[in-house]
Amino acid sequence: MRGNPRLHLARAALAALLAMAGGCHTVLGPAPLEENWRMHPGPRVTFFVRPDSFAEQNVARLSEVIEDQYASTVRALGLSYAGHVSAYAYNSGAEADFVSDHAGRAYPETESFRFVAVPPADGNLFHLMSHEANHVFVINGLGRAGTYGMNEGLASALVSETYHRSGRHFLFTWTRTQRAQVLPLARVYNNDAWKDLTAQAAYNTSASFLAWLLDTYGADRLRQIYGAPSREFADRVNAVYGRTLESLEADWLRFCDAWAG
Amino acid sequence: MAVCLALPAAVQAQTAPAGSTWRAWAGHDTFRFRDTAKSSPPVDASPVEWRGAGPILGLDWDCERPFRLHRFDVAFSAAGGFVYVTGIGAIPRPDQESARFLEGGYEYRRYFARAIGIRSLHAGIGVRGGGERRTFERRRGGNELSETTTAGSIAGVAALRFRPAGRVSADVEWGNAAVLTRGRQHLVAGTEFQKASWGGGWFTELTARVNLRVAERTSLAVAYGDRGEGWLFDLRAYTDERRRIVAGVTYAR
Repeated sequence: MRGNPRLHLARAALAALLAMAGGCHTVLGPAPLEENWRMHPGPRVTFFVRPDSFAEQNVARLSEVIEDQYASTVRALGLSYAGHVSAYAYNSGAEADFVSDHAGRAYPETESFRFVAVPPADGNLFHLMSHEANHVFVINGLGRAGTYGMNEGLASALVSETYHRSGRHFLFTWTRTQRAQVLPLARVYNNDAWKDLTAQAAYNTSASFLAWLLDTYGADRLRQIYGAPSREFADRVNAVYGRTLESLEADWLRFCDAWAG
Repeated sequence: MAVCLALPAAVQAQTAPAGSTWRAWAGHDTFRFRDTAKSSPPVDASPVEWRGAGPILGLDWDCERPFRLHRFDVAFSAAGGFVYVTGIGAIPRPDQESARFLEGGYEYRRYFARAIGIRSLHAGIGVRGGGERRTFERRRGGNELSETTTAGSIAGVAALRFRPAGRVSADVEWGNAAVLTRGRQHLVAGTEFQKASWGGGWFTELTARVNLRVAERTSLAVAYGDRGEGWLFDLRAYTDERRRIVAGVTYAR
């Protein structure tokens, strides 16, 4: 190629500028909002479902479950939150860019969540939906949790069992029967260790412990440790409960061992 | 960074005296916010958008030689009238919700002396340091949330400048910045909760401006700007977009 190198350089800069202008945010930013929804308003949660989907066929049941969950969570933690929440139900994990058909995500800052709604309409689906909704209720009522373990565990610990047995019944039974998978609490409430833990075991361990803690000692104390960061978590537990985390952990495991469902 | 600063050193010697210009401008700024559950591509952002709009005011000071530019700028904007955009509609938010931005910066830019393709069309590159303070007031379910963020950024800027002999000229600027930030959330929900954390982020900004000279020292300018941003804090993240259309007056001393 002949010619002035500076001219080529300048032309290359121009071409790069034109090619990239406005494109970076398109690549690194989010996809536009989707429009293929039908809206089904409820008293406190509005569902957005795909037309003629499984979720739309079962929206009355989903609405019934989520309204109960809303009331249950607010009551259990004594929250003052009373916002209106938007729930988006997808037909598959692939459609929502999730890794499986049993997945969801919560967006507390915009009071919304999304989840995959596939048959059957049973406790697994209701648990998933309630878990994601609980993130919205809890974070808007208590602020951000101090650890990933508290954030994810509390969302499952608060799942209401009015319409299924996938809340406490599942968690305490899992702790009793799957003891080899139960993780040490000191690791579960350590953000540095969280990413190395098996996700399902970490979620279940934290949820089971927090459900027991809430049932045994009430919401006031749980609210006091909710925002504790990893490095302060054990000390905060000690100060609030007057007992070490290890001591509470032993009591919780004994309770689960004796759990008869 | 070293590459950015070294390349323009090859431009021709500059002997023309520096000229400075002031530009005061005002316009309309739209702010769109979505919280994110995953910030790496493909970004997992909320299906609902928090959107508001309001006035923006700004002041720029340029010190320019033919192929060199120093620019100081400051701007303030206040967005209100917020809604939740759901994809198929909009839900009004309480009147107390707002987003305010105070930002400023300094940029050093150099242009290549040789025109590219068209006479009087020059490419340039620069580096910009900026600072910003933004405050969100939210009302969620009866609870009050105040969020204040202070941020510093360093950006690389690519630019095109078209300055023909006539009365009309144009500029296009494209910048990408890394951001270091400190955010504080204050929630009043029966009792009060406060959480502060360091964070990081990036933004991509595109600005196009057309200038019309109306007198020897005075020009009118109309500009469009679009900035996409990503912010990551401890246990939370969000992405936003700011679009502005502004008009202003430029006075050359």
